[in-house]
Amino acid sequence: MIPVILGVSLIVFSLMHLTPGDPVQLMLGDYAPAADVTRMRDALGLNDPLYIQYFRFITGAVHGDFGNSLFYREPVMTLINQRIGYTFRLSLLSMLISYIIAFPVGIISAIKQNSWLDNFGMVGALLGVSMPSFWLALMLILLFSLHLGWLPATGVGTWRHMVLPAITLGTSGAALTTRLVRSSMLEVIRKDFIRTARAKGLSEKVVIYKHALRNALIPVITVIGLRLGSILGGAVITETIFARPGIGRLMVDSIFKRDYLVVQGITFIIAVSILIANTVVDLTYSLVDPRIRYE
Amino acid sequence: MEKKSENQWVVVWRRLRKNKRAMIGLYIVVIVFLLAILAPVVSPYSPTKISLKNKLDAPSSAHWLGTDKLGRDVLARIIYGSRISILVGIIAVGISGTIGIFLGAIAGYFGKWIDVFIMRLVDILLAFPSILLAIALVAVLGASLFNVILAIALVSWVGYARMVRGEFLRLKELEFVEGARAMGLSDFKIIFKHILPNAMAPVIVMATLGLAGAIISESSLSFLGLGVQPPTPSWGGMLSEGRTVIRQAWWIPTFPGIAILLTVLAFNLLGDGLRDALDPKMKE
Repeated sequence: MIPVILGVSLIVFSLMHLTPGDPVQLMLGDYAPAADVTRMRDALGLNDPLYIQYFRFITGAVHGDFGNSLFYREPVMTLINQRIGYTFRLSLLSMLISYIIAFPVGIISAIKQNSWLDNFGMVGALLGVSMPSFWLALMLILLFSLHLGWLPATGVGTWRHMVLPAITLGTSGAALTTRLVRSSMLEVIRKDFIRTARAKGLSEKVVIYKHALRNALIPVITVIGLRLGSILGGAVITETIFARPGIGRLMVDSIFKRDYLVVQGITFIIAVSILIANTVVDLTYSLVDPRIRYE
Repeated sequence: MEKKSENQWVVVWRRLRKNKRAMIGLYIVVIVFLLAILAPVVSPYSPTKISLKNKLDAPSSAHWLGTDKLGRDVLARIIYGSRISILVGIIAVGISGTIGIFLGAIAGYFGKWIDVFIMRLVDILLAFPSILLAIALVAVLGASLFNVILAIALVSWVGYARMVRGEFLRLKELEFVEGARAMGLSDFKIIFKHILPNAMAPVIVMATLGLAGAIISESSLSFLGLGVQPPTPSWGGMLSEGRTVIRQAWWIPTFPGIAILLTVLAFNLLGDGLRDALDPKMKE
């Protein structure tokens, strides 16, 4: 994992150096006095050789120091800490929603393969996969906030503020996971041990939920780490639409304010979170599939 | 050899034709391509012609999908917007596919440190949510059509690389490759003339599904104001404008989204159908 984190840090560090022209001039604007530009270049250490700048970035990142935001005049890490809770809660709820939908629909689709229930579930899943989340968000706002007046369109405060963003963020995950659960279940229920379980006279419920599901879960759990990536990526757009003060919206705001240090900090934190989540998923894998422990 | 590969594609086409969902997808894809190519002919109005006396007109017989806040025809802008989506999709998939196929092929064929290096690079890029990295790249490079294509291509090649590498690892052990080596063919010829054509089936499926992904990525970037800049019509940009007038004009945020949904759905249906047609064992 260390080499990958180093690679991630190198990409994040390079981001600011990819800017066409002087990043400081871009951050301060075309009409910034030359003295301010020089002062800021010195403050950011941009006059030093690249390898020294990178070393400073990586040692700072290890200590959670990504420098100070130009716009908010606060440490980047403080800004992230203030907002990460909102993103975390939204991500968690959207994941919950996607699994609450995906498991029953995927299992039923597999058990009742080629029935109308299966077709209905699969068409729904395909629509969910194909739907741009920001459009879904707008349609949900149009229907539930503006037309019916049931739920608030923007802001934070109560659980009602979380509903539309969580559905927006959870829908594509629900669709993808439904397809995965279905195909995984279909593969498992054709295996010999399921036939044996049925031949032993076990009830269909026990066969499906105790024998098949546990085995079908393995590939689903593998992608939880990957789902986190999609959710955190999706949060950037969802939080912007629903005006939620999470790190996704902070990132978009910072892009338009050319606050590159904040963009760097958030990108790094999200990438490292995904790496850690994938490692945790790998480690907990053996809990679901004890065979892995002995391999 | 030529005849055999032709036959294979005839078989694939026959299987594809039997798949209703895939054919629906194919028809929609063809329609979208035709609309993009024939936009000046089929569009009822100019997509950029401002008519303030018609601003925010609801759908009517004159403007089937209504007008936007500058009085521009929404249908005309959707038709012209398809050009951006298709253009970005094809070029981004072309670039990412080429990079991914090349790196995947040499990683799988040569193995050793080349494989370790390329796969480590893949691992690093996979740590970033692709849309987040694309947003960050466009943010620093500047918002433009070229940079959008570049950003989407640079974050999407990893999937192709992983897949092609896997195929090469499998195929390079087969007898026909050993035969080619025994004949003294160069590595270059073995990779690109002998192994690669046999590894292309899953790549075609991935590219079809990749087009859907690229269209969503482009519209996401345009929605955030990081894509194609106004007044050029793009579906994501139209949704972004529609968001600001959502209270007064439901049609502006609604119809461009349906265009994205249908196009992405079509590529997904076609991609799923191609996968089943190319490898019937994978069905279900």
